[in-house]
Amino acid sequence: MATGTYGIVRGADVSPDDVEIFYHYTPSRDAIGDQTLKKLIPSQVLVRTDNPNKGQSGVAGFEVFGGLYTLKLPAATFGLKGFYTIIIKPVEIRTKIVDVGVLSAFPDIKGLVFDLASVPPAFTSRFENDGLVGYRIEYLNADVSSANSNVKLNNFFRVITSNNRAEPVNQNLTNTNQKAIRYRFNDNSTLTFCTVSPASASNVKPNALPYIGQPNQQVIITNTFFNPIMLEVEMVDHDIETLAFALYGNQSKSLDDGIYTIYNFSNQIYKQYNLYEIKDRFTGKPLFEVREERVGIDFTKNFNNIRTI
Amino acid sequence: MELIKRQISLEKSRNRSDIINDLDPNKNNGNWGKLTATTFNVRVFLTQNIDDMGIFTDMEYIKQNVSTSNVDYTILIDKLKSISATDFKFIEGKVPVITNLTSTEQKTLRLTGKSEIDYFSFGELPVTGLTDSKIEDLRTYSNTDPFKVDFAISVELYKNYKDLLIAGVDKITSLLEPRVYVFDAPINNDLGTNKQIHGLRYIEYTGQSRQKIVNGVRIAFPTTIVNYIGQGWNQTNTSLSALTKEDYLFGIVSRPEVESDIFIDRGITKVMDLHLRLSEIGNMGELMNHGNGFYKINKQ
Repeated sequence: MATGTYGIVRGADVSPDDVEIFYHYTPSRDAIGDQTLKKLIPSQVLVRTDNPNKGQSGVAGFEVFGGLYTLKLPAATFGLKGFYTIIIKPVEIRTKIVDVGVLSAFPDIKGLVFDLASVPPAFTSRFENDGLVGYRIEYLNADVSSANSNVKLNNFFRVITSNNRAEPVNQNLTNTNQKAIRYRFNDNSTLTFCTVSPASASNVKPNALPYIGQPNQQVIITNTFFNPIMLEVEMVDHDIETLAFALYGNQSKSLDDGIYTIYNFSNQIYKQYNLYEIKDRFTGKPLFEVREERVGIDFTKNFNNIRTI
Repeated sequence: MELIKRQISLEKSRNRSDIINDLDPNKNNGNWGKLTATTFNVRVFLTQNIDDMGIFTDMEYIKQNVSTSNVDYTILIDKLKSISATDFKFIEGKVPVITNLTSTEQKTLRLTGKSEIDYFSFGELPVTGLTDSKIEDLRTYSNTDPFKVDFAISVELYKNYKDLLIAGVDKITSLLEPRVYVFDAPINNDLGTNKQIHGLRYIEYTGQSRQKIVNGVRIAFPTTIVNYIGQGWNQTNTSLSALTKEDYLFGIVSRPEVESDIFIDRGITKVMDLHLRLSEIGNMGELMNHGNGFYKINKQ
């Protein structure tokens, strides 16, 4: 039954090329661990899932199943005991604003101009016409003399609402003695004109325009294809199952050499200990009974072997 | 942003195999206790919250022409030099390198080298549907024989979606059961048959009826099938433009409509109310008190 409402959450089907993955390691909760985040290569660690419904559409190849991804964490990096914090977020495209201006035909429409030739080649295709719609722009401090130069402006961003290739034109203004740069759409240009929101003045103060950037300012352009997530992976030596080895697993005590062996549920040696007594060297009086974990494993205590002796 | 926690036991990925070295019982293949896994796999679910920006504004643009692809950036370069911003690659004449476009991007991105024809998708598949009878559109002025077979009610020369010239007719081809009639179909052997390509073909079964509800009353009407060949996206319904977004339309998903028949009821005397009261004023004192809503008389 139609209720007039609609859902706005969908399983993301983003490509690994549009994703960045960082991780941080600390051996314990009371240590800060790494001072900086390390980066993983998304194409190597993020695996998409094939959609089982694809056959209904006659799809022969791979069809992404929205939302479900597998993180293949390399054991060489994630094999230490401790806490790994993994952040999965949209990829950042860092570039500079070439100019801020208005359209020649519509002076009310303000926007930012970017140089496609200066964008990292891996991201150039995103800057094609209408390719940046929905992207977010964040700004770095444009005051180069400031101590916080090129530090990201906090709590400040704009949303790109359109982008088209445009060229600069020198246009007569209302005062015919005056000319200024305006922009018109031309697919032959290597510049792209982006409109952002919010960019309009309020109706209370029509001459007070929202800040949308300034020429030569560094910006970070990010897609909004999915919501960032943080994953905490705790690598542990012991869990319920290893404790169960000690409680319910097979065990053996070699009476000859005092080696105490605990086996896992596959009857493989899990741990070995030396059992011994410490006695007073003069009186021979037993002082301590000790169970000490062995450094080297005595594999002659293999469970199948000792059972068949 | 939600925090997802996972715990992975390293024990499950450790080698506990008891292969014994016959020469030295205390040695195995050296891998006991070592990690054997190359990866640890964790499933994550990524979601996207979506919202509609609303309608865009179409604008004209200059299409890419390879022969005249030089754009003059001089005025912009001069401006950037004045603020010492000269490390943009377009100033050196470099062009963007667009590589590794996926097949999806080739089809969905409005790439600068594409033209309208690249977005055409004719389909040209037969389409069939049920509809109302249209035979009344082929009624003649004759009282005795209102529906005539093979009598062209209308003849028109027109260009179709592919710019082909079609001499189309509207006529009834059969009054037997089922009745068959066509609109804008060319005169050839395929007219009125399932091989007809251009125009619309109707097949009406007077012996069968469907029911629909009109003003709460169930009405029976003949079953009519319409056949045509789909035309998809073509030059008659496709255009390319530069899309921009005006802020006041953010979130507005339908085109604003202008209502031209608005009646504003101000009441009979509301606008003239204060002025009409002036007729009741008899002296200066009453005039000073009245004020008419906007003036004030000061005593000197």
